[in-house]
Amino acid sequence: MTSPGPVVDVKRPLVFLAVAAILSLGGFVLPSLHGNGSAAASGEQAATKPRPPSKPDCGTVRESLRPVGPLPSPQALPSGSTMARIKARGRLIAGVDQGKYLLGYRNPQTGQLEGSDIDLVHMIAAAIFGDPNRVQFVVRDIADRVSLIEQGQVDIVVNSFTVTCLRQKSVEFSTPYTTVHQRLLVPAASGVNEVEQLAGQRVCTSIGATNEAVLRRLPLHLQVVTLPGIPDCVVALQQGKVAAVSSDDAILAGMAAQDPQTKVVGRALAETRYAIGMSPKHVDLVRFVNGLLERGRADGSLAASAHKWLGEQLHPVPAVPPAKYRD
Amino acid sequence: MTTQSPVLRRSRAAQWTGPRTPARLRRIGVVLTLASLVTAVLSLVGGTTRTSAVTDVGNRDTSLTQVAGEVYQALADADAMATSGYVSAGQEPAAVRTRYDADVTRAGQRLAQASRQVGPDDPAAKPLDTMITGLPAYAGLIETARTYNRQGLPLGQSYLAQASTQMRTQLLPAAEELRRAEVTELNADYRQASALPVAVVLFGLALLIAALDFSRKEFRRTRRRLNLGVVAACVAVVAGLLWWVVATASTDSALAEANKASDAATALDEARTFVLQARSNENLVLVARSGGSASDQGFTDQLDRLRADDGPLAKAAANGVDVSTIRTAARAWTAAHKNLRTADDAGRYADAVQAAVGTGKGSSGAAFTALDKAVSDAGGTARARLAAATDDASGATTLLAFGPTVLFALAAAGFAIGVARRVEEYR
Repeated sequence: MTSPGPVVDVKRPLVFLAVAAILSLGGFVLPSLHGNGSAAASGEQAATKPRPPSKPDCGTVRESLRPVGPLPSPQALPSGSTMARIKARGRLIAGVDQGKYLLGYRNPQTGQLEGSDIDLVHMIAAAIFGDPNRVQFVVRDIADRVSLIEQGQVDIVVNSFTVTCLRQKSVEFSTPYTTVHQRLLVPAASGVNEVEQLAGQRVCTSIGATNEAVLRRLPLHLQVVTLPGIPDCVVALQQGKVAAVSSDDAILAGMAAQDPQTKVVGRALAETRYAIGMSPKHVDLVRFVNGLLERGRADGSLAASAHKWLGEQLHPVPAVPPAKYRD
Repeated sequence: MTTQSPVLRRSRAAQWTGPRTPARLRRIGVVLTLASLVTAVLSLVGGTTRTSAVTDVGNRDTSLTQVAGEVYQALADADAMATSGYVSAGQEPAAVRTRYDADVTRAGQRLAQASRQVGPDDPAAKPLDTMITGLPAYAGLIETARTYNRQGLPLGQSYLAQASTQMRTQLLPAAEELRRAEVTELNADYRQASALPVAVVLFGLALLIAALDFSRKEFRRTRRRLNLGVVAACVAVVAGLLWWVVATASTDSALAEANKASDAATALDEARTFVLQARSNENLVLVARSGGSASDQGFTDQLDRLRADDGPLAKAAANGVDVSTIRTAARAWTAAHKNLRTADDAGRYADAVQAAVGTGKGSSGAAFTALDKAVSDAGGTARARLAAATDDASGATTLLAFGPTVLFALAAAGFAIGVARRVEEYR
């Protein structure tokens, strides 16, 4: 020690304590013994498919292909034909909907698909297999109907599929089996009778349907809301998120049947025809299906199916249009 | 004092100032006494903080973290059950309905429990609000779907789809946010609970050095051992410091175990979420009849994430959980699921549905149930481990707030008395 003399001094303990105080102030940043804990799970991201922008129609609709000769029996399908290939596979793969009541829907009590579109699928399966139930149903959003055919994932699409010139670029349609009119579904108490009363309001229709362009062409500044399917639009209507749903009368009839507080109103905003969609590569299948439809027109089974499903809802029941061919 | 001479009384200030030895001694005595008291206060503050942090780990955090995990699972399970009920046509199976109801009830109870513990400014408040308002809306959509189903009308599936979307885009992300917030909070408390209070240690050591330095000088000057008061004070300081060191070491080992158990429980929560979401995906793909491998990717993704090298099972294993049963069950489900998809893709839809809702050996339904049970059992074991470890940690902090404080206060008294004795000798 350098301190002069053996005398105690208060400075030394004060220095010790001051050092302690300074270190303490700096010491609050002492690293902890336990670092970061486990990272938690990452959330699920909602996947939304990009939708192609709707393009304007491209011109006039082409008629379908004429059936050749009498319909072959399931035992005598031409070898090498698309039908024979489907038969060898053991099942017909059909793109349908399961949400459109009375047209193509899943009966929640049985889990089975039913409706007038589904009847057509069974008719075609019966003609190929002799058994109407040899079917694999594939359900996708209606916006994906064309791509199902383009990618060869299904043999046929029977899903309120309106014939348009634009779709004919990648889809070969059968002859039409029904004529429908685009109208409106509104709350029964709304007092709305015509689309003009909805000017500036929110009107819902499904993504990828022809109805959207019709609505946008109206000079009423409608706020057009699009959802994956018409049933989703009906849910939105019931929840008061939209003022009306616009779609084809056959579809809307099935929706009104599920909710007595809604009704189908208004003049026809557009008239279109439904047909069965197939690949342009399967010309033989298209002619075969047209032969079946011709038989259905002749023996009244197409009209009977329409009457069975839509008779209570639509007056008059949509007529089965006559077949026309381009060849 | 009354016996003192007038001369001494006049020079009262001189007792504390000036170069005379008694004045120096007095000054040192005061400094040592005050420093002891400061250390006592620091120890009290540090001990109280530590005790409350350990209590928080044991109470609010552990329970809220658990609540957050349970809410997540209850919600994901409710959704898996709702979609299962839809896959099986007609009246949904009673077991599925019961489990859905129990899930919604449990989620509601846990949310109520959590909201009682969370203040309005807590980061957990926002996701809690989202879930508390979103859950009744979700349940309403599910009930509407059921009503339509019972009437044989297909509009129910649109309500189910909307409910499922709300679950995936609102409720589950909020549950996830709550869980993350609570895990962060828990880790912060672990840090606080296991840190040695630096100020107490530094002040205690400085005090000890100052006292020993003073004693050494006094010994050199007077050739006399210091008196009992100062010795007792030094012993008390040493004892107080040792108390802190020992308590910290034992709290730390208990907290390290608690932290491991907590990480394991969190990882298993996460694992169960993947399992439930894979189940929902399996159901939804069947409901949507959307065949093909594209939409089935969700199932594979969830199970891949479950089994990834940095996935929840690996994390649980690293934290002392035996995951071999879970891995076996996951393999079995993957195989059963593959059979289901093969059936569906080959057009045998009815067989695929049967495999999904079935309870028979080799069915996907049974394999899912077995895996789900294995994961939740392991989670329960990890939670029991966590509870035991936090109990140990709070046992180690018993009296920590007061024990060392009392010792440092005794040291203050010891220095005061001891130095005063020495000053007396200069009368």
